Amino acid sequence: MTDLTPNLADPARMRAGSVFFMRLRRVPFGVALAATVLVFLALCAVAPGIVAPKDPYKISLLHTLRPPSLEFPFGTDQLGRDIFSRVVHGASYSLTIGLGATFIAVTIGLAVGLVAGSAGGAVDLAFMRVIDVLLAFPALFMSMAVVALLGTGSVNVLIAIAIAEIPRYARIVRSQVLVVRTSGYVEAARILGQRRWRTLMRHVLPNTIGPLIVLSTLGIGSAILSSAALSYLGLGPKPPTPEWGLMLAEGQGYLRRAWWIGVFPGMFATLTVISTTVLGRYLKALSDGRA
Amino acid sequence: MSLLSVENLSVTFPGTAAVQGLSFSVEAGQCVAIVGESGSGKSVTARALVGLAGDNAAVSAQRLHLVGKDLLHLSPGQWRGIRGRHIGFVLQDALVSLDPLKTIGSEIAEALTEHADMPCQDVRRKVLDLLTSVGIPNPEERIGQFAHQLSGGLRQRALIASAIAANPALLIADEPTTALDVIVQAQILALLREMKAKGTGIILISHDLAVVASLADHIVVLKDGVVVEAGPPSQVLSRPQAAYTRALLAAIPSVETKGQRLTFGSGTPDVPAARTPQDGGIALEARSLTKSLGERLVVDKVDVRLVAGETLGLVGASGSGKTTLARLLLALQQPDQGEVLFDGGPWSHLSEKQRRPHRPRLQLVSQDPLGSFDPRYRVIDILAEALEIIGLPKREWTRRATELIRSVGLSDSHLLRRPRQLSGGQRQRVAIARALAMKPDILICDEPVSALDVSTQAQVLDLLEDLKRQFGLTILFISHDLGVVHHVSDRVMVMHAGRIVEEGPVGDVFARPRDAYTRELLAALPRIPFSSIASKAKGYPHDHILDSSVHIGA
Amino acid sequence: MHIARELLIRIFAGAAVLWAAASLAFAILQLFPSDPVQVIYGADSSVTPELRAAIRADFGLDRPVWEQYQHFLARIVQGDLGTSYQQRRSVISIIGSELGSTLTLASLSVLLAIVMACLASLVTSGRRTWLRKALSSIELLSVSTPAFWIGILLLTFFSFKWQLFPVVADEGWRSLVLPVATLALAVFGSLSQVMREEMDLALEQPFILTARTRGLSEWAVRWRHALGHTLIPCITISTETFGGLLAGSIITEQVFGRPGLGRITLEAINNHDIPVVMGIVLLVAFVFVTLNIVADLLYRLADPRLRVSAA
Repeated sequence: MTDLTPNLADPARMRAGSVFFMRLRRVPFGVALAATVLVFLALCAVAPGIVAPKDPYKISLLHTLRPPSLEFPFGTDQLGRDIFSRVVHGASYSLTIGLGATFIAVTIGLAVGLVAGSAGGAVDLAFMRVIDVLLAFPALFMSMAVVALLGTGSVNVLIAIAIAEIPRYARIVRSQVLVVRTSGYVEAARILGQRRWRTLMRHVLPNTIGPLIVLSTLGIGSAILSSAALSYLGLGPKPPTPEWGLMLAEGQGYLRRAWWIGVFPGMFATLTVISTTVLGRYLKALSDGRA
Repeated sequence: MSLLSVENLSVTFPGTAAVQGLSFSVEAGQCVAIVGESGSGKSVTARALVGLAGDNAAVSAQRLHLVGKDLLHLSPGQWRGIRGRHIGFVLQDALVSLDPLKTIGSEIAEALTEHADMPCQDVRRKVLDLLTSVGIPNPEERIGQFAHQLSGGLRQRALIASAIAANPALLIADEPTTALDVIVQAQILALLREMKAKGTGIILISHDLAVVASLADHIVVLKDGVVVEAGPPSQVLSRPQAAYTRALLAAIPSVETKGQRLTFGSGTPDVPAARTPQDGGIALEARSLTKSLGERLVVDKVDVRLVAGETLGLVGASGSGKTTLARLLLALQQPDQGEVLFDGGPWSHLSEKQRRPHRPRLQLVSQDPLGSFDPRYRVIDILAEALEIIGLPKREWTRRATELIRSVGLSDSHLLRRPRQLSGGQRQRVAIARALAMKPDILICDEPVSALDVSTQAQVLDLLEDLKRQFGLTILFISHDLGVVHHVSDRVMVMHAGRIVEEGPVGDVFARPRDAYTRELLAALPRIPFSSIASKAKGYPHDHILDSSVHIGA
Repeated sequence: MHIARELLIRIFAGAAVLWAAASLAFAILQLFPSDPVQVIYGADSSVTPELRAAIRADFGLDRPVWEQYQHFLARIVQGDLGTSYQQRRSVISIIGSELGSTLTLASLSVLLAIVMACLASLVTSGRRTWLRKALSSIELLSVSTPAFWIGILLLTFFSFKWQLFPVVADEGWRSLVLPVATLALAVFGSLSQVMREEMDLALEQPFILTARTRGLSEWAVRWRHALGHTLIPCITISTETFGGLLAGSIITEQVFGRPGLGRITLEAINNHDIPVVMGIVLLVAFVFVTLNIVADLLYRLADPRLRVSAA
């Protein structure tokens, strides 16, 4: 009689997310730190008023260009606005665009890549040629071109970044699908006599989505960078929106007198991307270690 | 004075003692062989002798002298003066042991330019001389070629040339022939014998006692870092003192072991045949199969007749087309011409949809089971997948998986492990269990034991034999290893360059080969000359010599 | 010869991609029409209908779409990327005048980045020293930091606070230092990461052990053997690197107020000067496709295993 414990009662559960079978072992300090930072930033995005109660738009000509102090932790800008509160309120733009654009790009890229990789033949060829065309431009450049057509502003920036990132994900998904389809275990399934559809569900999809989720975590960082860059170039939301890139652009003229204008918004952006990158790399290491 | 004198050598890594208490000496013109399985410490020893055991290795010895010079406390700079100049090193598989981006001329010259100040023309001339001395024809042409442009044998010779370029007195060869086919292996061994005759001292590292038998003057047998036996071949191979050596010799499959178990102890219960196959019926047949890959003709008008209940061996060197033939028989690829018939009916000419319901009856055990497992699955998931396909209801899966895992000699706890956590032998057992889950009639085994140690190989071969009897299987056994094929097969086919050159009962073919290639193959087979291996099976108690791995697969 | 045939196939494929890109550009142009009259005269209502029609005819906008498409393709093949609405100059001349500056910046930066990445890999790969951890952190920073922030920081401290380098853009080589440093630092991270991983992989190969057994020093082993195996896979990321360079140049030029592609692209975008934007887009596509082909060929030529067929 089998002596297997009850938790084996349903051994054949094939969750698509089982690559993240996270028995929370010792998580490295850096990763825990990154996760904490991200939680904090999420809080800034969702409830900025709690973190920074001061009004980010309030102009005060009495307090222009004050260095960091207890009252103004990050100092004030050229219009006397509290930089700390502006930076905190700016989190929502960057995070929304970063997450939103990545989500859209991943979803569409997944669909396209799956179809191309599974169908093979002429369909695959056609799709990949189109992707090649789109990949013929660097992502930021493509975003700029899209913004040129659609106009500036947050929503258009989100769409532009999403469009620019789709080819990258589509190609990644398609190559992974090909790798899986030609793998030893898919062939083993064929020898066993498994039906094609079942192989797709049991092997192709889970082995594709896992790496995709990991890569998209890394991709969020690049989307945030793109969004900040586009705002810096003046193609994003218009002043007086407290967007990080925009703040850096506006404040550039005052750097000689007030170094704090240039440091803090950029610091937050960098911190965000470092955190997502560290987290993404950790997820990658986890899934590689298992795969 | 000895060329190399080693006394009480030990190499430790943090946490493990890889080698302990190793002592031997090598004279000029003598060959000392260090034999062991994986994990025995033989490769670590080889690397420690040239100071390349690794940054975290602690090497100590009572004596480690090279022609009187102490090797124990050398600085990195001093080691560099020794390597290549006084000690040469040859690894296995020249395809990856030579820099693929460099010409073999430049690789061979490297030791020269490193240790001697020679003008360019002299270097070139010396390289050409070296190429000739190792038996490479057309040296003028070869000097500018890359490793992948030479055949396996030629590039191994080039690798040896690069190791002796600066004329070292001692040559260490770590599995120099493992990646080569039998005929080429014999040639390389002959080359090493020549070098030995010219006065080079050789340390030969190998897992293969037969290879070592033809070359060694002194054999040291290592197990888990410790010497279990040492002495001349006449003693070690025909009158082995240690139980481990005896078991190792007994585990080597060959003509002499036919019909007998290779290991002691019972891995699986001895159950009488549950199914008697239709004796004489043709289980699998192929007519005039032909397949080209690109421009190369890989399978050339091959006929196969697999009789139900038999084990048919298919032997051939790598590149002979064996694997492609297996894939055609499994209908994983379509033949260009000819057809495959399964159980009398069409097989290759069916559509995949028509074939699918019959697939469970024809299963495969391949050389690399790890690649055939989804990296996300545990062992029980792998088995459950198979059970799902044959339609077993979900509630039965755990019970049946447990049965299967036990029938291949593993324990219940293995069900929850992932393949990556298992050893090579254990993975192969899981692959066999999965194949059995389908209740197959025919099992095609494509080099199933080639990647395994001798002792593990013996266990898996015994297991296959037990299962064959228990379930009435018909087996097609593909291998390049003549000894293994001889041991397992009833009939054998010899394949060469895509064609079947000889076929017949295994005893006949191997004793009285008619085809020239078969004869060449058999002549090149390294044998253990002092043969009292036959004595191994009788009268030996059930020593659990090969440790717990005998019962629960290693 | 094998190579010649491959080259031809690639050129053909590249041309197809370019044609597709051009057609896509044209299609988008049609979907998002930008009125040149609007661009030139703004909302000035004194523009008479006749003048408006004349201007549109000037730009060929009164012809049927199919004809416009043919003209469009014909012009591109001849190297004419159109005329700017805003400046009434040909797009080619606008781009040409500014390209030099961008090229200087980009090439110096990428050279610096490659040298830094090579050195970093040679020194830290295959080892687990503190130096390697430090390098990893620098790489992480480089990959995560917005390029413009690097520029602003450098500006703030090296130009404003410590007065080491000029703020204005045209004081000879001194004004190039900070922009080149900025762009090199921005690109260095991903380049170094890939290089180090490849070198780590290369150092684990058996032929490296063989080289060591010949008595080569660690440095010689890396320089003579590992480096080659590292650079070849890096050829495959050269297109991406170039993309990063281009994007980075645009941003860096903006930070330091330098002339270049960045300036004209932004101007064109803000002025809805679509021909200029499309011209730049097509030029970039052309460069990319060419680079792709060159990289592909280089990759095949560099690795002898791909060059010559096995014996």
